[in-house]
Amino acid sequence: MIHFPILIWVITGFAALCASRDRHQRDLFGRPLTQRQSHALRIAAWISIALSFLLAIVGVGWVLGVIIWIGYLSVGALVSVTMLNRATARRQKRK
Amino acid sequence: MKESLRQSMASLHTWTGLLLGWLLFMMFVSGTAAYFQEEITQWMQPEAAGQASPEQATQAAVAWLEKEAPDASTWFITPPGKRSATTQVFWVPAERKPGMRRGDTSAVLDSSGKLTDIRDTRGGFFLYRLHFDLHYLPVIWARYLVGVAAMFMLIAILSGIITHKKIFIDFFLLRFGKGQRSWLDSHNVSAVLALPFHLMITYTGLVTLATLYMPFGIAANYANPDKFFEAVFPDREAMERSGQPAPLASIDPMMRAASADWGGKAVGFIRIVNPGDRNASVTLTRAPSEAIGSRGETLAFDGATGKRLGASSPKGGATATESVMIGLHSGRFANMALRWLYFLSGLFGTAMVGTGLILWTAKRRQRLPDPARPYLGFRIVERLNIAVISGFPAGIASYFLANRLLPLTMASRAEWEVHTLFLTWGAVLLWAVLRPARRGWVEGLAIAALMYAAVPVVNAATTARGLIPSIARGDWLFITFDLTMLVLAALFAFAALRVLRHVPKAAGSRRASGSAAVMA
Amino acid sequence: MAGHTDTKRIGNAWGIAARVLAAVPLNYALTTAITACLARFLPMDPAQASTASTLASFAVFACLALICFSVRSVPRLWGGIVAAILAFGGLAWVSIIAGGRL
Repeated sequence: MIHFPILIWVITGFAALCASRDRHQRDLFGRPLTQRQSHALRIAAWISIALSFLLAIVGVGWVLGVIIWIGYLSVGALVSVTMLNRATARRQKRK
Repeated sequence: MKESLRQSMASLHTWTGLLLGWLLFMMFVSGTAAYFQEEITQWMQPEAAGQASPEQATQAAVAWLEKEAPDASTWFITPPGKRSATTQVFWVPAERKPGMRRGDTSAVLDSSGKLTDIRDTRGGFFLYRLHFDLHYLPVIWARYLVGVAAMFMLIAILSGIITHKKIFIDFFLLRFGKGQRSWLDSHNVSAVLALPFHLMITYTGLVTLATLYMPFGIAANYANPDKFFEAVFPDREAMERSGQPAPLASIDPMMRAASADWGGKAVGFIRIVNPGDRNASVTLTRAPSEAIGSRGETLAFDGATGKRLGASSPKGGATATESVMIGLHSGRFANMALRWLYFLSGLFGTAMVGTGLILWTAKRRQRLPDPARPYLGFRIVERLNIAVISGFPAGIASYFLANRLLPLTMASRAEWEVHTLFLTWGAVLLWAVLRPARRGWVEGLAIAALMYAAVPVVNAATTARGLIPSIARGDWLFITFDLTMLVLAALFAFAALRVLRHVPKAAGSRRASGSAAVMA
Repeated sequence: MAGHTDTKRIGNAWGIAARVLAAVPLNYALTTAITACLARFLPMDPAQASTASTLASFAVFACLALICFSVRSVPRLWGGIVAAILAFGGLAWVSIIAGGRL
């Protein structure tokens, strides 16, 4: 059941990547974050994605692991885009 | 200069996407369905139920073949597996009589080696073949056509990436908006988020028929292509019949030995040459479902003595790569969870093509000088969109309905199930041409919804394996199939309602975004 | 549809026709020539080289097609493709004459 940690880390990574961008911080947090916070989030994002990749190849194997990892990237992207859309919609409602 | 490149790539993307878009839509729908071809076949053969082991079923099939086709030059046996309940046999007769059809030299047996009483149907296998052999066409033309379509798709993907580079740099810009941009958004979402899958499936699709499309890689090195195939797929030299009869050795131990050799992997395919003769040979091939490489290892035995002759597996890095690529496309190695992921990705791909086609008309509707009388090209695209996007899925639903409703003893029953698919599709096409466009969409989508909803109802009415009895029995396959039909019906109904309720804006009317929900 | 064609880069109907001819039949000829060369010259077992070159050919074709619609000058495009066909084709042909086929 290595799949759950792989997926969780992918989603975490994309969420952090999304949160590290100025454009989206307003929608997510209501205000832009500081440079250091953005930078930290970006690093956290790449570490999460790298971790998910390692889990995939160690937990599943080389060929199949890479393939499912790429598949999970798509899932992670979809989840984070959906989350962001929700946050934006919520913010616009509040306005 | 950059702007100009973007524009020419955008144009290229539009044209390569549009020209064969409807064929690509069909290919995506049938291909996506094909990931569950074995389950679909099981649903379409509700009488079939087998419990015996593959070894017993194979031995029983051999007994049947010894009675029915003792003089055949070769027998082919596909034993039942994890996802299929029947044994498929096929044989090459010693002499090919003119007028002999596929049905005369093939049979489907149950696990005790008897001809099944199950209804004559091509099942999910037909949807799989439809994906690349199409229908009513010589197979070779169909394969060239789908190859061209696949290459158009590849170019559409690449030009799409170049045109929309920005989306990849920050795909968080994707918005599921309502209103004006929603078609573009649906197209972007389904295209970008599953892009690795789309690229992979398109390229590997071309690879599955690679030597048909590009035979010159082989021709450059080999004067005779057969030499190439012998080099890559080494095979025992076929011996002639000696004329001395010898009973075929027991297959059961051969299958067990093969599985043991392959670390427990199942046998997928058995070929028996010169059965009943002293020069008989039995070659077993590893099932494609057991590993990602599609080309399986083989093990050969002497047919009369049962002695092991030798093993082989496709060798070489490039061959292994090709084998993996084909395996990735067909997804036969996938377990249930991954199979559903493949299915979902296929739906995304279908959505990408469908929303792209609709986007073409949506964008241009605004620019029409007279929206009530669009130019011919626009009208053709609009009608084909309705006919294909609602008609082809409706046709598939009618294929399932025909499976339940056509009389069991009807001649050419399997072929008529297929004809029903195309007749329904043709009817929707006709309807789409005759009705005003918006009505055509609503009605086409409604027809699809009704047909999918009818499937579980007709199933319950004509078999003992309807939804309620299946739930009682815990028959997951039948439950899931019927539920999927209901989900599809709901999606099409939802789309029809959205189109019905959508009030076009005055300044540049837009087709409703209803189908966005269907697809994405 | 008439007003939609990009005129800046692709040009008029003749220009489009010329590019399509370059992107389809000429492209196929060039891809074939390149594939044949790869099959002859890749440093591996001939069966593997044939397989590898065939696998790669689709990427070659797709990229060349993109090039056919992004290069500014049509005469240059044609000149380049024809020259490449002669070069790669010639190379493959010489190699076959010299080394023979299996």
